[in-house]
Amino acid sequence: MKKLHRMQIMNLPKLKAAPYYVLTRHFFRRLFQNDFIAFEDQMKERSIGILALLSIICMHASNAALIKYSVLPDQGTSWVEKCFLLCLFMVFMALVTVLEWDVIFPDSRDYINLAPLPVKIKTLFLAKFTSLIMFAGTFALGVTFLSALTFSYYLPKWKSDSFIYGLRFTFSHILASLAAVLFIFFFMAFVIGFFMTALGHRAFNRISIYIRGMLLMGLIFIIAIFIFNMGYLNTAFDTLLGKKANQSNFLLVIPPMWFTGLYETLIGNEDPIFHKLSYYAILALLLSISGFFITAGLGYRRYIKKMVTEKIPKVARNRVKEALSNLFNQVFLKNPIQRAVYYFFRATLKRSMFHKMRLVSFLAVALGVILILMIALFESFLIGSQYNRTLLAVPLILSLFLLLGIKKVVDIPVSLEANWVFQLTETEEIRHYKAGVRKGILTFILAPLFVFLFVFYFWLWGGQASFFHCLFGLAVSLFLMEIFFFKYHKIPFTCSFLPGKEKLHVYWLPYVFLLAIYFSVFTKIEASFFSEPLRFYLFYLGAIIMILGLRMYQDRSYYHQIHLKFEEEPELVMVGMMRDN
Amino acid sequence: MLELREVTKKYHVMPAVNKVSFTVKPSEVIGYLGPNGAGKSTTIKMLAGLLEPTEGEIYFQGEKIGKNLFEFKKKVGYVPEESEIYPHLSAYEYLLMVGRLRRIPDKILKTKIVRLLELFNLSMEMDMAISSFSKGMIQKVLIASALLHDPEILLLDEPLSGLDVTTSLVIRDLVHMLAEEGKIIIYSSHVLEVVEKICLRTIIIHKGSIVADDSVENLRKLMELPSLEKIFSQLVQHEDTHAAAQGILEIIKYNPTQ
Repeated sequence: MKKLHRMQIMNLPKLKAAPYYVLTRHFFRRLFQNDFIAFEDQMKERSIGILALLSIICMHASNAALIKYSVLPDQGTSWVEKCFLLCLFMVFMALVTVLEWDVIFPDSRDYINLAPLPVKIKTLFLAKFTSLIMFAGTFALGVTFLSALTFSYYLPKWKSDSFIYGLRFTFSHILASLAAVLFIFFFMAFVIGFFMTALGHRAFNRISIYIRGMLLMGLIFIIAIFIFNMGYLNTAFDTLLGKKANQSNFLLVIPPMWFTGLYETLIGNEDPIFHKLSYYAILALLLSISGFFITAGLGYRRYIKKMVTEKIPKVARNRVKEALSNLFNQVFLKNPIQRAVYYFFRATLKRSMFHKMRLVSFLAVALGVILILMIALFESFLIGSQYNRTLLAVPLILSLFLLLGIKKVVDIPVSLEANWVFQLTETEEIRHYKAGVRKGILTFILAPLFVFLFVFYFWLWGGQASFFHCLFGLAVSLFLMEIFFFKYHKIPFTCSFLPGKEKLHVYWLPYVFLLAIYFSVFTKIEASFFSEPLRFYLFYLGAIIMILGLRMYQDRSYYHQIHLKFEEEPELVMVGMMRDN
Repeated sequence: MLELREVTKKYHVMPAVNKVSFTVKPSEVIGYLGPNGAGKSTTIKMLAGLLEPTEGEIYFQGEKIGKNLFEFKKKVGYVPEESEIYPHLSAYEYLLMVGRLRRIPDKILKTKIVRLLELFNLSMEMDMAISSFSKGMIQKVLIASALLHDPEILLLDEPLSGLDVTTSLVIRDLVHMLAEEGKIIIYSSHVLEVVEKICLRTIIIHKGSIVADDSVENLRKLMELPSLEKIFSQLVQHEDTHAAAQGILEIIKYNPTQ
């Protein structure tokens, strides 16, 4: 009896804690499967790889910022570098938060699966919170671990030789960095939750992609500045020294400064401004976490429950729209197979957040590259003439990255198990499937891009120059599209996917080199055409001939002898390994 | 006429379907029965041209289907066992896509879709995303998509799964009518009562091989059993169902601490 009683006592807390642990584990794993990332396979390996990369980047940045302290003593000014590096860590974490956007709060999938189970909402939120802390903490450790060594190597020796002080310094570094990173994570989570609660799920879903895209673009841009233009940033951060000397209130409104204050206070700096800033840091962290909890709680009923129980509204049929669509089909999409592929492409790109976000990330990188070029070549950019190579490169950069993005995106399947319908209805007219894809890319990617660019350049250079320039960009883009989709015999989003075929980690240098050549050659050619516009016509003619030639070659000698591809084949070395096993 | 000759399908080394042979004539409705994992869906998928047999051949009107698979696929309507369908499309969009892939002119296609969805009581939901559909509604969309192009061969893999009673009765009548029109229909199911009512001939498959192929009437006489259920139990069911249920009940109540 006594034995049984003891067993019951021992089992009781375990049983109560079990759902919390199970849910925490579940939510933690879900953080690796979202609109951007699908780490279902090799989750640990990939995460470790990313963390290692982050650690190395942060260590390199710390080393670059602090190396002067290997010879120069720290005369109480190293807090500027600390602020600079905390800012970098926060930007990294903000980027991670944007990538995790859709899985920060429990979603409809969680609700459907968890609602029938006897799990308290309190347990659910606590588990979600713990999983986020674990996630953010893991990234924070990745970001701060190696940089802590750099900091501890360069800085504490100028204050004290004591081992205890060194240890305190390292501990302070980790604590302040962790607080900064957690703050930005929960602050952004709070912002997402706030919009979710305030707007309602339908409106939020509609604008979420734009907010996310803008944030992504901004963050990539900031990271690029940190990497490529550190000198410029260093100068900007150095102005903080003056602000502190003047006791400017400006310091109080910069979040990285709050955590720099915490850092300095933890290592024993008695300056009252740092005490004040550290108070701000703690307050900000607590407020961001509380904000997260409040919005999560409010949003849960309003957003999740509604999303599951509410019927999806019908799309109202618009007769004018339908008539226009019929006309468009008759003129542009005469073949029914082309029509089927074209509208499937459109519907998937429009409704799949995963695919949309992937494409937006490519656009963000393109805009980041343009912004970097603008800053690097600011003087020449201001001239803004038709001979300005930076301005000439804009359409080329945008279209290239969008085409690369769409090539990548169409290879990622949507509901792969449903592709039987395409297999069942497959015909021998492969060229029509390809034509559907081509027309889809032209109308949904290239046409809107070049219409926008035409308006922009029209405002800048006037009608004729804008017309020549955009047509030039379009011709190059159409040619690139033919190259990227050469011998393409898939239906977008229907073929199994093997990631990593581009081997970016191996070939990134040749890719960058090729990119530089591409921009340099084409902008040079175009700049020379403006002095003699007749050459533009010759170029367009040449482009048309080449594009048609490529199409004819594929239609006549390739597409009639192959089938549609629904399964991506692994590389030969992988096939060999599979056979060996 | 559709004919399978010694058709085998192996996954890795294990045969899912082993030397299956049978012939289906126009106007014939074949009931294809078997327990879970017997190889029913694999056979149906091979007949639909979605899987290639490891050995053996499938003939349609005396010609190997592999010889001109595209032409053969044009004649097939298929309702899969699992409700695998693109959830981000609406029912209308999905059927429009399937019809276009079948090269049905838009004018005819749109009328057909609207009428079919009306008849399946889905006209109110036809512009809603399929992700919000119930299993029965998805099944209706799948049946409509299989019928859009008026196929010569109809492969139905558990077609009544999730459907309400009224729609099930409609489908049952429809199968009879299509058979009268000369279609070849293969009806795979677990629901023996339905098969008994719809199909004149039944093929029972067990562990990848055919164990019976005859009319329900003849099977009853031959085996001296009163119903298809008893015949099925005799041929493929080797476990004591009562003992299995008892075992499950014991596991549900399992608690060594009490």
